[in-house]
Amino acid sequence: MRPNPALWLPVALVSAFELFAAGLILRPSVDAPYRAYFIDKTSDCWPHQTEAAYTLGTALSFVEGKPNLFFPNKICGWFYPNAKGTWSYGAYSLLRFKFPAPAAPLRLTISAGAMVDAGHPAQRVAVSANGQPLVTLSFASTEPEAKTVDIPAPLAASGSLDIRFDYPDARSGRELGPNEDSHLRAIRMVSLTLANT
Amino acid sequence: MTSDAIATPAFIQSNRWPIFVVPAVLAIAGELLRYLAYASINAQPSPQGFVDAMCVWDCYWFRDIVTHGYQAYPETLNFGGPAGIANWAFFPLYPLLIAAIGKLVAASPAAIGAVVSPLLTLGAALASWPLFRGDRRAYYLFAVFLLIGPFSFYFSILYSESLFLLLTVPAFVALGRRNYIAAGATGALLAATRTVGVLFVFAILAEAIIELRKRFIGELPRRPDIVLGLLLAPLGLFAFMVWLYLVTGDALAFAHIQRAWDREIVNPATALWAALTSPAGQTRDAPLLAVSSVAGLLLCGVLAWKRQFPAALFCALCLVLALTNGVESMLRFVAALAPLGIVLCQLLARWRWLFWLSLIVFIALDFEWTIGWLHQQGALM
Repeated sequence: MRPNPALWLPVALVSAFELFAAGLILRPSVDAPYRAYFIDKTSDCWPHQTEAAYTLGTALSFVEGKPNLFFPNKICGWFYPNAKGTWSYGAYSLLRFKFPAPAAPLRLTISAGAMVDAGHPAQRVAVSANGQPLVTLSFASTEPEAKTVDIPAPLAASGSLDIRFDYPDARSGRELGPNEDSHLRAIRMVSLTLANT
Repeated sequence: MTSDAIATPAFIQSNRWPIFVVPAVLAIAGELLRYLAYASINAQPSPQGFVDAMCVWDCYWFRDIVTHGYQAYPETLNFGGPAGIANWAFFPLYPLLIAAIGKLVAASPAAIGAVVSPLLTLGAALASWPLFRGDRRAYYLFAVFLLIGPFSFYFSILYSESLFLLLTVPAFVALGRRNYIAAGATGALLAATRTVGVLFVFAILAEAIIELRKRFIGELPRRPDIVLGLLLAPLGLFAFMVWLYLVTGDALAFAHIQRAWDREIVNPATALWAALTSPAGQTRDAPLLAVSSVAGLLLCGVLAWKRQFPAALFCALCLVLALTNGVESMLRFVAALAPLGIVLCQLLARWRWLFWLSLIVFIALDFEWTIGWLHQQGALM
């Protein structure tokens, strides 16, 4: 039986709708963080919202299942915690701390292992606070090493610190094994404390 | 003709009633068996406890969509991982169905899913009869496979696999009859059920090429039914894209949000090889998932060998597309492809002894893997 030529009408209607829908792909109406993270993938930082409350001297844990997990202070740049710590994710990581403003400098103490091997013996970590560069640390072991960074009193006096770790030597997670996520990794943070000197 | 024979309905006389009754009995038996599995590991079992215990992993997302609809923006609160999550990766037809039923009955989405999904699966088993061309043994084994078999827990909870099964079967029945419009319309519903549903358009294309062969290009302008079928098949996906655009501003939000689960596009062959050769890593039970993927691809080969090219193409594309995100959840993806289950049961039902052995193994695995599901074993995710 010959198909009814009137079927060309629904063909035209469905085609028009699908062309319209396909056209929407070309003009997403989203904000800049969304576009950068999900569409263009130019950013590895999806900024989480958090109150970031912190009591000076508290040791935050980055190990799954341990108390004082760092989530209330996390902004972006961290994988899921596991039994050995939390890998950094992407080219940088951000943490935010809000606390009663102290009159003295603060000391940041971090314990972290690094993604290093014979061919890549060190991972540099450039630490900055509220946009001001502080120091560049170097981690040379897969096992946790403790490092300290002094935060000047004028910065600490704000009572709010955005601490950023930049990883110029970060490497693809795929180097750890073929089933690993390929995003950049540099350090596996175990603990972090911000305290009075 | 005796008076007894006159009183007996033609339906009974024709001996066709087991085709309907056996799957219905299997559906009830399957529910009971899975409840027994749950009761065997719970000190105080209850129907509500059973529903809640079975509702794990993606069940959370379907429940969220049924209750709240689609999110406008990814989550910005900490949930542990690097990105913001959102429920856009889950296609709308199944949660819409559950939400519609939820307007009529006062029950939780998980409870509605626990009733509706087995009924949809029973519908899939019954609708598959024409695809067996009279091979009752294979048909019954497929009914066992779906309703009381190794993966039946997937098809009896708040997951979209049951609806996907139900739609896949009539889509291929219509395509087998070269009713392209019916196949396309069912394909549109498939495309609104799961990401891979849109790939049914290639099955329609393959069937049209098989029918028209070298005349395909020249004949197409005189076959609006084929053109309409081809255009209808992806309609569900396009409709979802328009909805996502209205809600989120991003028509491809369902694909972009994959980043929230750290999923990235990978070479399927590389993903398979990595999973087979390297058990360690993010994906739990990677080698087992890789083996199930290979088994699925082999069954695609069997379909092609049996000259069921549209079904072979559809299933192979579904598996390859899924593998571009790695081997995670591949066991479930393979299990939910009805043509693979059908061809597997046709193979296993060729010999009577193998049929009975398969039947016993299927039922035993239903019990065992339901317990595995309740314990959230990684390979079953």
